[in-house]
Amino acid sequence: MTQNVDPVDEALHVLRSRDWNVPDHRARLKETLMQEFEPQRAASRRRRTLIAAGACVVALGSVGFVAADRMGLLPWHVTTEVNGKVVDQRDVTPDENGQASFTVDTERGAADVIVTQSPDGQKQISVELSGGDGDSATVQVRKDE
Amino acid sequence: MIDFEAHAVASNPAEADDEARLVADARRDPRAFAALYHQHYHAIGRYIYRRVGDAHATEDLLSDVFLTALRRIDAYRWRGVPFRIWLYRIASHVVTRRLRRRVRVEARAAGANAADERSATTGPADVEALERLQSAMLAISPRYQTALALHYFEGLSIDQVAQVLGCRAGTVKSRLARGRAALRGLLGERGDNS
Repeated sequence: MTQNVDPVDEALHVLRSRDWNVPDHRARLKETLMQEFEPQRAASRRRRTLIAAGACVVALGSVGFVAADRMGLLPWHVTTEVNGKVVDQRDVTPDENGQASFTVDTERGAADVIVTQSPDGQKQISVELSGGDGDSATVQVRKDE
Repeated sequence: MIDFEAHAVASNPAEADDEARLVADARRDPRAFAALYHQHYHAIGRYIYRRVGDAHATEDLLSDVFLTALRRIDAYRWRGVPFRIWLYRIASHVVTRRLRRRVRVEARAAGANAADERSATTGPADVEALERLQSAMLAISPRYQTALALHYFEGLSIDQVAQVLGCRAGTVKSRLARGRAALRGLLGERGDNS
């Protein structure tokens, strides 16, 4: 009996069969993590205080917009500010669902920024601040054209 | 703000409770964090290795993942979503960032993988075939690679992949379909039809 094997399935199966195990690395990394544990936790406690007291502002500039059901969406220029200081600027290209996400690392913590454009052209920006109490953070959104 | 509660995956309640307690403890107790590390080290390392195909890069990226997890563990909110899903998310971000500089990874893979993979049971032809497949996988869009790897390599369901990626299930299905199509095109071009 001839079996028609999908080459994609076969390729994925071959790649999946690869395994990796480096016991030496496991032990070394654990040692590093344990050494870093207290300094990182102390820094995290400081970040929580700063982020809870601060404000994160995300400014969104749109250089163009193509209907969400077409490929080739143009990039958005996004500026992220924390307490009035620009911490990140980048161009992000939304996916076919009109969504783009990225993470900004700052001295005050990490912010996961998700920008979504709905078909009616409205832009929604959500910011998830890690290392802090998201409920107490103040988020302002400003859109520049 | 991503609402994990809306995408909660059914899991063993007893195990879920244990994990929630362990994560809470890990925020202040290094032994608890070490327990989480040991539980998930191999799975995340294997995921990264299957993505990048390079043992040295895997070590670097795995270190980045767990150091990030240590730094951000306060941000993890246990709402019925396994901790490993969160680790997959971090790992996917880390790998995608590296793949944007993948020229370096591919150059190392060409040399390092030949040594990694060669064994008594793997001949040079097998190694070459493996490198071609890996190269094809690396050539498609990182967002398609991520969806394919999480679903086919790690066995995550569509909903779980959506949780990792912070998107809808429909988006995951779309990326899987497009990823498969892209891979099929590359495999056909390179003559890897068997």
